[in-house]
Amino acid sequence: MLYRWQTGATAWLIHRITGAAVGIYLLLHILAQFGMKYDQKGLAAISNFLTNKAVVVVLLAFLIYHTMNGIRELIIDFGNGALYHKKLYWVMMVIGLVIFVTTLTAI
Amino acid sequence: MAFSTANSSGASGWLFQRISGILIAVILVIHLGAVHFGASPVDLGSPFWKFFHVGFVILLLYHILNGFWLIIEDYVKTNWVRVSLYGISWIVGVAFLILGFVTLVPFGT
Repeated sequence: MLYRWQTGATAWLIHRITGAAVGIYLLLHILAQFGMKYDQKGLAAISNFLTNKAVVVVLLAFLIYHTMNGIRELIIDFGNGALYHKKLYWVMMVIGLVIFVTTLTAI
Repeated sequence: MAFSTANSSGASGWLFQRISGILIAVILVIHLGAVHFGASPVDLGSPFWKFFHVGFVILLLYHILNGFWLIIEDYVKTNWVRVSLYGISWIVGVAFLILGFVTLVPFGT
């Protein structure tokens, strides 16, 4: 892959990385809930990992980024966001940061 | 090439990645509020929450595995590896769908 380190391409690459990480987290979340329901002690380690505070903070950051950039992509694809996608990126990031700080106070 | 994974333009996948993404964003906020950050716990064994979470799992699995597939398509050039990973994605999807089902359906019993 050829990477160009401009706003759009970088936003896309981070979208990909955060998406893959959150995807793996949610698959593990399903597995951990299954383990809890059927009392599988071997899966308790996964549960402990998922509820680890540092992991939760990273999850929230990744999840909020992925959602905010996802909304930006929707505005670009279905609205006229392509005309101002760079500005839109930073607007979404500021909104995301506010949401992130707010959720941090709740965990 | 007996079997190609590049047999469609991907336009329907593109659209449904967006539709599922919108639905997931809405459901996720409700899920986080009801289950993780809520003031009072909800009854996850009630039919509403069972349907809610089964739907959530289906949408998530689609969105996650289609996302993985987009990544595989970009980086994996060897045809037999791509085809294998495509098959593995389906197996993972079906396996996690069953895991989600057997966890959620008897919830609270």
